[in-house]
Formats: sequence, structure tokens, C-alpha cells
Amino acid sequence: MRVTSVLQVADAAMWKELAAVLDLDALLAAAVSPLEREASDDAAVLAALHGVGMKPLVRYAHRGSDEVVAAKQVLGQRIRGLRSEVRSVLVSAQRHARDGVARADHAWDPEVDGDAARILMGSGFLAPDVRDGAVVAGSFRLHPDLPPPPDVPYDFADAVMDETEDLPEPSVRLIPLLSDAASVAAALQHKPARRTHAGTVGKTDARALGRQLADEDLQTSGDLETHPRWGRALAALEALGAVSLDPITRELFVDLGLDDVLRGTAEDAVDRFVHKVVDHDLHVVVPAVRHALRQAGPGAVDELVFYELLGEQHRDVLFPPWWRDDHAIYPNPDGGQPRRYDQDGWERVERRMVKVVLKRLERLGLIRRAPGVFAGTPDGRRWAGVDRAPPPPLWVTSDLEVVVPPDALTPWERFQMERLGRCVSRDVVDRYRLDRTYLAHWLSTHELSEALDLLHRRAPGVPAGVVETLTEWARAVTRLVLVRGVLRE
Amino acid sequence: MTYVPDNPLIVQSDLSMLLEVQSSKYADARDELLAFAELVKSPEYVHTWRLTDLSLWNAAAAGHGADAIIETLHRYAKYPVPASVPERIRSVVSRYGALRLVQDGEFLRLESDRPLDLEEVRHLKPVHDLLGDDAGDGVRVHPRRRGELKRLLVSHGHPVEDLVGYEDGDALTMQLTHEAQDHPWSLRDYQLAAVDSFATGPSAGSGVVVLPCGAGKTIVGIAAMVRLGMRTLILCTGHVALQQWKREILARTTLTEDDVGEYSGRARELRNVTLTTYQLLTWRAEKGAEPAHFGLFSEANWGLVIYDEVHMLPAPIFREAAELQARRRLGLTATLVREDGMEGDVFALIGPKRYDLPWKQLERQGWIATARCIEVRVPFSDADRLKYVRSSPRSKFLIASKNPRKGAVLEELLARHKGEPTLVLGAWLDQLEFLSRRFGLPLVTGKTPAAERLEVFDRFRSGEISVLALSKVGNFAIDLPSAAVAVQISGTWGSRQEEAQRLGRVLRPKSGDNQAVFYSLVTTDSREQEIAERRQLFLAEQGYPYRIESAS
Repeated sequence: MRVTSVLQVADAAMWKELAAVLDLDALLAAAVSPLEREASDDAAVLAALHGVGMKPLVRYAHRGSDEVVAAKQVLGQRIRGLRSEVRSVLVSAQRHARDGVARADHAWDPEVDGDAARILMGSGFLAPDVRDGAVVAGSFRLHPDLPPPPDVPYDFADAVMDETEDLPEPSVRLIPLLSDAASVAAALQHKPARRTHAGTVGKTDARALGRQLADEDLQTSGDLETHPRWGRALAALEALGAVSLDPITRELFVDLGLDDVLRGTAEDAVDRFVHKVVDHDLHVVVPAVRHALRQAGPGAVDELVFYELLGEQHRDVLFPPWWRDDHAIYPNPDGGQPRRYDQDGWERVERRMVKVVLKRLERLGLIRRAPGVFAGTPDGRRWAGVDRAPPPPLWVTSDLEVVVPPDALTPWERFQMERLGRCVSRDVVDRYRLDRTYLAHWLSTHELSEALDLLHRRAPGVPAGVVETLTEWARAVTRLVLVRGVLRE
Repeated sequence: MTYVPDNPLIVQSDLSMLLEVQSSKYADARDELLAFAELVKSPEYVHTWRLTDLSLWNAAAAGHGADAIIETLHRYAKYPVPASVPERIRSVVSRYGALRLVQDGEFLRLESDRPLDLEEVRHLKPVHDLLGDDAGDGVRVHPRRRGELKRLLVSHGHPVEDLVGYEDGDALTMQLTHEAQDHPWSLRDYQLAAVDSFATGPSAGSGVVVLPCGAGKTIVGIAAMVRLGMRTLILCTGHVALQQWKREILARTTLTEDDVGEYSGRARELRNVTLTTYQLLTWRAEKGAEPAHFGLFSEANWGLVIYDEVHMLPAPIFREAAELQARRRLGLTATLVREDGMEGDVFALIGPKRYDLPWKQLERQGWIATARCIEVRVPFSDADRLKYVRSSPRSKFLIASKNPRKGAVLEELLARHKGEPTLVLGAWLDQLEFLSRRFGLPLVTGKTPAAERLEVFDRFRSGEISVLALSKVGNFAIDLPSAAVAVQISGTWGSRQEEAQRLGRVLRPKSGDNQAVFYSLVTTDSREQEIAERRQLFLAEQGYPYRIESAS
């Protein structure tokens, strides 16, 4: 198999049109279908086409969403066929994993669960974690298409109490921050920016981002890092690991995996964000806190009772114990003096770690804390699934405008919207204008049907003329397509 | 106040507002907003309004106070009203009436209860030159400078409440008839409301009425003229429009031919009601000379001056309009937006907007036809596509615009609408001439003599001909009420209003299902298609979305 590029036309008659202005045989290889010819030197093909005023859409070959769902279903069936002890090791690995990587000593006991781990590796569910050509000892990659593990059946009902008066107001809003991060990410995709050697985004690029973001202040100041809204959003993207810096061009680019972080509901996006930014060895506690908030509803959680219940019900939330000589010990990969996995250990080790998690969640604006009690903030309650009012609709009008009221879009939908439409103003509502250029950008990584799904899902109606216009634009934009990353024999 | 989902209005800090059409409170909110906000656009689902200085001054002129306006916003707001908005409203509204122009013997006096405001305007250089000596608590102003002073002050954010009043013109007795062309008629409710808004109230007698194409602005002008009962000068956009006005005046009033004169290139009839054109008034014998016919404004004791299509008022006439401040003035238009941004001058020199009615409202009430807008995509032939691909960017639009395959599409549309009164509108004379010969269509262009034009229009109105081709002369001011179908075979780059004006040709109400169709033929995958999309946005904003058909 080899990777190549392919030039596609929408209509075979277009070859004649191209031949009228270009020497096709010099640029392209033989046809692979009536509508496709291989383009081994795609840079030369692009240059030649631009030279005669033609601008093909450049896409990368990718799997459709249906293919991903199908792959997950197949894996799900295979998992159900595993023995229960093997399955529980897999589930433990999933719960402890972050960014698809699990540390073995946190996820299973190498002696007791060693066979199960080997079966999982043999079946392709786990694989050694290879970075820069070297295997990272004790670290394993999970198959990317694994269905999520079952929820842990926590029960913190006994910890629920009324809110106390000393619970402070939240000072941070996480969901709007994620939404803004989505906007900045989309803006960077439209208009890449470079960091100067001082480490800041250059003023010209920052002003260009300001135009993308429809922010007059940023357009004027050119100072992204100190901007109270977009600077924080960029920082959030960096905390997510969603932007990278090309060391040579110094260009910031958005990781393709950002979609996966933001995908789904706002609650899902918050949850993934939290798991990413909380310390690697602590994030596994996060679902317990989320569950407690859900059970507390509009009330609060007695922190002391919460710790007790957590220890009683799922002591192994942070560390599955290793069994040596009939004693439960903490994971001991270095083979040193083992530490007993007892109540004293819980108090000294895990409970302190859980406290750190609560602190992190407080700083993220998901909980409010007072001595002995914590409660959800509005964002935290939403994350926990408490009292979720339906979002207001957005409106799509025949003049190709999309009007987005507050809270109408999840962060993932915001990311999609900012890639699909040009933001023309941000105020109480945000207004976007659908245009051909943005649609072309969209089509380089997505299908038109996904754009229409987004609009139909969120708006009370999409004018037929808008659908027709987008369809027409898509047809015009995809008349000529250069597809990169195509696998051929 | 937090989120109130049932409320329909979203107020933004930039003073724009969004009104949710599907809300049960939409109609009530809309009716209240009309008093103090501009409707910017009205597509489906959500209409955009804006609070402008002019709209707030208009409201203040009509007696609406800042507190009432703010209360209305709060009452209908879905989200908290940004704090800056009430502040801004109070600041703008308070400016109206802060400066007043009053009679002071044979002169005028500019005065204010706020000495700082007066001081501020005195130091504005262009304003300073128009002001005279101190006079009591104010400043003397020569009557001839009344209009220019108001215009300059508005442009600097200082509207003037003009309390000087008007000079009555020569009285003229006339009535509206109850029959026109053997059909009974009467003013429609909205037309009566428009006349009332102009002619009654404390600041009556000057202002602009905004009504969509086909809604009967001419009737409003005539009714206002009859209500005031004074000698009237009417300024029209061209000879055809002039003839239409004359025809309507004679049909709908008790005035006779002797009462109604034409002051144009053909005739110089100075009568009780005199119709003239902007072109004539701005005509100069040689470059740099004064317009030769400006004296018409002062040749008779006019009681009312009507400016038809006031959004097109040529700039030189503004200067003369400034001289007519002592006369009552009525502006008529389908849209107050000017391409040169001189809406503020219209406010200062003609008067505030007195009446406005959205297109779609009139359509719902059946007063204008329900229109479908359809873009027909016409592909090139292979040979023409190659020619297009090889041509320069500048030529591409022209080649696409004149795509020969449009002829076949036109033929198909004419067959589809056989027997229905149809207008074929185009931008290129050679294209129109070719199609006129091919299909045997009468053609009216700028070169067609006026008499011949009128004759062709009469034949179209009578039904003797059912299809008529028009060049850009068909863009505005032609009254062909029976036209039910318009086929635009090519458009110019022009302003978006060209598209709207062309649509307006078919919006007069029809018998039967009261439907009209507007086709725009556009070559697929071409520069013309891109330009067409921009033009169509204006219509979409008014609630006329385009559907797309592909030519077979």
C-alpha cells in the first residue's frame, strides 16, 4: 500500500475544460476511474491549477462518522465475548487511561492480572506505548475505538445535604471558556498565527484573529495573550494540549483531536476537559465527584461523608491493590518496602489525593467549597446533569445568516459553527454569515450533510433556499478536488 | 432580570435588536418598536431592528419619551438589556428639543434651555458661519439659512426642533373622487394612517412616508395634497413617472387638466399642481453654471412640495430644498437607505420619518402580491464554457451574463406563463434586442421616445400585449400593475436595490390568487452567480428568499 493524492472532477467533461488550459498528461498519472487521476506531485498540480485561475478543494481522505460508529460496535461485541476477569482489567485500564494511554501499575496487578493483560494485548485492545520510536515501559495504548466503560455505581445519597450559607459564588465559568476556546481554535484553523521568539502571538496575526473572532478590541490592540477573553481561551487550548507550535515556522496549529475533546454535549466536553487538565494520577476520581453532585441536585455534599462513602464503596478508585502474600498493598512497581492498603493508607494517601481533586475542580469553577461541604456551580451542575433546561434555538435566515443566542450551542457545536460561518458580531447573540469560502474550508474536512445536520438539529427550521444555496456552493466547490492521503495498492 | 424565554426581543449593546417572529408577543412588540426603531431586515424567524439617532429623534418628534422607550424594551426583552442601551437612549432622545428654532420678527432664533449645547454648536466651524448675532437667550438666524443650519446640526448630532412653522401656500380646493377608471376606490387603512401621520399632530407638515413598492405611495401623496388643500409642486424621477402621477391625480381628484401642469422638457406649464422631474431641475446650460430651473421652487406660492422616491433625491436639490423650509414637504420612498448615506439630510431638510410599513405585513394583508423569487441556473454550452474559462476575469461576468442558453430558458418560462402579463428585464441592450427579435417582444429602452414608451405601456396595461421587454428604464417608477411575472435575464453590478426595485414591478396586488413570480436567470458556476448571490441578499433580508431551479 502507498499513500498518494488524487485529482477528482465532478463531471468527466471537466477533463476537456482542464485540458484546454493545462498539459494534463504532464501533471497527472493515468486515470484510476472516469472521474479521478492520480497526482503524485500534488504541489505541482496545485501550482498549475492556481496558475490558470482554478482553485481545487484540498481534502484529506478520512473515515466517515458511520465507519467510526461501526468500528465501535464491532469492538463492543468482541469485548462482551471476553472472560469477566479480562474484561474488568480492560475496564480498569480505561478508567485510569488519559489520552488513550494507561499506566499498568495504576490499572492492574501485574501478578494477578498479568494473563488478562496479555490476552488484551494479544487481542489488540492494548498495545505498547511507543513514543519517538521507543517503548515506554509500563505504559499501554488503548484501542481508539473502544466503547466507553460502564459507569461506576457510586451512591452518595447519604452525603447529600442542604447548601450552607458560607458557600461562595463561583468566580470562573468553564462552559463559556470552552466555547471561547472552540472559537479560537476555529479562528486559528482559518487564519494560522505565529508565535514570535518572545513567545507571544505577533500583533499582525493577533489582529487577523481579531477579525476572525469579530472582536474590535483585539483587532485594535493586536495583543492576544492579555486579552481577557481570548487570551484565556488560548490558554485553555494549550492546557488541553490542543494547539501545537511548529518549531520551524513557529506557526500555531490546532490538533485534529480537538474535535474528540469537544464532541458531544457541553457536559461531555467539560468532562473531557476536566480529565485532561486534572493531574494524570488523580483524574480517575473525577467521576465520583460528578456523581455526588448529580445526587446532590440543587443541594450540597458533606465532604467528610463523601470521603467515607467513597472509601467504603470503591476503595480502589485510585489504586487497585496488589495482592502479595494474602495482603493488599499499594502498587509497588519498584519493589521497595510495600505499603499496606489499609484504612490508615486511605487516610494518608487517597483521601489527600481526593482533596487535591476537589481543589482542582474548585479552581475550574465546577464546585464551590466551604469547610466540610462542597456544592456544584451552575456549570458544575450542568456537568453533573442536574436540571438541564433545553437550549434556546438558533435561527437560520434566508439571507444566509445564523443567529446564535447565549447557550444555544455546545462547545463542539460552537467549534463547528465557527468553522462553517464567518462571525460578523458578538454581543448578546452571536451572528454568523454562511459564505462560500467558509463552506469550502468546511468541506476540506467534513461533509455538507454534517453542516446541514448541525443547522437542522438546532434551528426551528432551515429555509429551503439556504439548503439549496449551500448545496449549490458545495457542488461548485467540489467540482475539482485534490484528495491527499489516499491509500492505493 | 434573567432569561425570559417567552419574550421575543433581544437587545444588544450595539443598539441592534432581534425580534423573534414565532413568539406570541411578536406582533405587539413589532407595533411598539415601529415608533422608535428602524426595521433593518425581515427574513424568516428573526427580524433585525436598530435604534439609531434618527429613529430616536423621530420618536421624540412624535412625542415618545426615553423612559417609555426603555420600558418597552425591558417589557419585551428575552435577556437583560445591556446597561449601556438605556443610557444611550436617554442621551440621544434628550438632544431632540434641546435646540429649537423659533420665529423672531423677520428673523429666526436658535435657542436652547441648555446653554452648553448652544455654546457647543456655536463653535462648530460650518455652523458658526450660518449664525448671526446674539438675540436674547439665543442666536439670530437668517430665514434663508434655516434648512442648511438644520442639516449641519443633524450631521453633528444635534437635531433641531423646528417651531417656526410653515407659510401657507395658495389655497386650492379639491376633493378625492370615489371612482377612478370606472372603479370605486377609497384609501386603504394604511394609506389613511400614512396621510394622518404626515398631516396631523404638533409637528405635522414635513416628513417622509416609507411604503414598499406597489403599496400606493402616489395615492398617499395625492391624499396628503388634498388634505392640505394648497398649491403643490411634485418632483418625480422621470418623465414616465411624471405622466403616471398626472394620470392618477386626474383620475382620483376633482382637479382638471387646467389645474395640473407639466414642467418638463416638453412643456413649461406652471399650474396649481405642477409636476416636474429631478433631471430638469438639476439641468445646467453648461458645466459649472447654476441649474437653470431652480427658480421653479420660488416661482409660485407653493403650500406643499412632494419629493417622489426621495431616497434618490439628487444632492444639488438638497441645497434648494434647504431653501424651502417654510413650505410643507412630503418625501415618499420604498426605502430610506441612500447609497450616499445622506439619510440625515433627508431628516433635516424634508423631515422625520412619519410612517413605515414592512413589506411582508402588506403582503400578509393582501395589499401587495405574494411573490416567489426563483433563480434559474443556466449552464454554459461546452464551447461557451471553454470561452469563459479562457477569458480574463473582467470579461467573465459579461460572458456569463449574456449566456446564449438563457434564450431557451426564457422561451420555456414564457411558455410556462403564457398569457400572464410578463416583463423581461435585462441590463444589456444587445442581448435584449436579440431576444426581442427572436420572440417578437416589444422593447423599451432609454432610446425609446417618451411618446412611444407611453403607448407601449398603455398597450401592456390594457392586455393588448402580454410580454414586454425593458432595459434599465424598467428598474423603477413604471406603473404596470397587472405585471405578474418578471424575468430578469441579466442584472448589473449596481446596488442591491436594483433587484428590489425590479421585484417591485410585479408586487401590485392581482386578482385571483394575488401571486407574482420573479425569475432571475444566472449562469451556473460563473462570476455572475457570485454577484447574483450578493444582490439577492437584500431581498432575502426583506423576507423574499430565493429558490433555485436548474434549467434542463
